[in-house]
Amino acid sequence: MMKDDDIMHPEDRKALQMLHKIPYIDSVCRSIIETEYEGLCRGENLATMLKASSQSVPRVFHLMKATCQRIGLPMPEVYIYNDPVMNAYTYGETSPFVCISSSSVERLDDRELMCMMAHECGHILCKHVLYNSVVRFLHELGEEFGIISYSLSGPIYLALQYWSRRSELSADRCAAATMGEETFQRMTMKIACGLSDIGCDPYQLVRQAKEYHGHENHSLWNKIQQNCRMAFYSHPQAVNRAWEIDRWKNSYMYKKLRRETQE
Amino acid sequence: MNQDTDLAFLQYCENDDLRVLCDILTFDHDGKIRYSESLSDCDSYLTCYPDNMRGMWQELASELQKFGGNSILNYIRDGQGPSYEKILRCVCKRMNVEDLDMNDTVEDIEQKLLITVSAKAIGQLGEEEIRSVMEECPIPVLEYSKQGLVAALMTLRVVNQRLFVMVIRTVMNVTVEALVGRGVASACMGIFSRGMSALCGPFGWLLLTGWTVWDLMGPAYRVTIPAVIQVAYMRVKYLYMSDSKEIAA
Ligand SMILES: [Zn+2]
Repeated sequence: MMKDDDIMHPEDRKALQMLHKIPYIDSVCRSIIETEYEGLCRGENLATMLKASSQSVPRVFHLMKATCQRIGLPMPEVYIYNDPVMNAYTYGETSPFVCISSSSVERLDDRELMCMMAHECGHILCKHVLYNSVVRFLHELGEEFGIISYSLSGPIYLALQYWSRRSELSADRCAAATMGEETFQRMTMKIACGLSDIGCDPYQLVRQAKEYHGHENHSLWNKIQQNCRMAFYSHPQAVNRAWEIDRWKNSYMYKKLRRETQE
Repeated sequence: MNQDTDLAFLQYCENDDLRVLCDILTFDHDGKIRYSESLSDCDSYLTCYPDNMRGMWQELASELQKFGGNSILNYIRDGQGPSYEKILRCVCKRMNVEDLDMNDTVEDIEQKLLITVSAKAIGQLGEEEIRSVMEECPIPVLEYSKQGLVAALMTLRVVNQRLFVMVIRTVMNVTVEALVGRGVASACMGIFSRGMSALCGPFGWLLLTGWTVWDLMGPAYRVTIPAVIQVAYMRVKYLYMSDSKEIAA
């Protein structure tokens, strides 16, 4: 059984510790989600997406079940939505659910799809869902009603985006530990290019990462340019995700978790 | 950062001791990760922690110097990070270590620090606990008392390093046991989840020597003081190991 401590990226852990220091944050966040959002989203899922079960898209249902068994997590509900962009997300606190885009189901093979599912399970395991949901809630609140002006929410928003990128790295660790780093690299490559046929070399993005870091460090201007762009991303760039897992695969924890989840 | 020759001996230390040092630098006493640490995301940490700690001794040394430099010794920093000796002297001042001399070597200073810390720990122990320390170590004294034990430590430092290490280690163990027995340690058990490693180190002593005082010292000292005490303990052990042939038991 995997624990959040096993897979948490240190920067993610620091950010969460910081969040926990805010008084009542847990109960406030939880009540926002419960009263405002979870019910709404579940209704919308049921209304517009396809829920996976042993009869409907059984492949997705069984792969999710197997993934959760490996991690030692209760199985969340799984929905499939129609989208050409390969993606997935998880939401909800009391009973979380995972939504996967149709193109992911089509273009990823079984192992890669499990890897994507394990990434989402990683978010659930690390309790990212709680804060992530609130980030999204605040964002939408600000956008729709102008309650939080950009000048006020700007720095907070960027800080939360920074944490959000770190939290992706924790979820990636969960994916790599559950399905192996090679499968993780293949999945990341497919998501980056959107194709199902990527050839037989799973480490192209790792090599690209080195090239990218070289470019970034070439001049100060490049560095500033790249960092400014990144500040607004909620997800780290594909090359950095590939690169981070390529570093982590040498760790004691990765090897230990691989032994435990070994197929 | 420039490599400090006073910390080069770390490459010969035991894995468990290095791990305690690493845990002190990365986690606080209730198992929370330190915000300012930069060890746990470095490549060598990923490959070496927790069972090949010698492979990252240089990173440990730099991190210790960084903590000492960034937080305690700002005023004397010359851009290079302070030497280990400067950090050590600063810690001793904070811990009220007496009779330090300008000519003392790093080893001398460290051993005086260890005696001071042990003496504080001994001061908190009961009669039974003192007796058990003295019976466990073959200490050649007649008087089973706190003063007797502290005096024995000071003598042993000069005449018998092997026994000096042994007494310090026993005081440490008895202290930890006493803490657990009295429930003092329960609030700080978070660290136990990390394989008990850090509580077997200087945390045990420091808890018993008064956590409230300790907390008042500010965040910087909470890292640097236990780290320096751990390094001091490791060096005594290392010195004894490397010339154990010369010392008559
Ligand atoms: Zn994610």
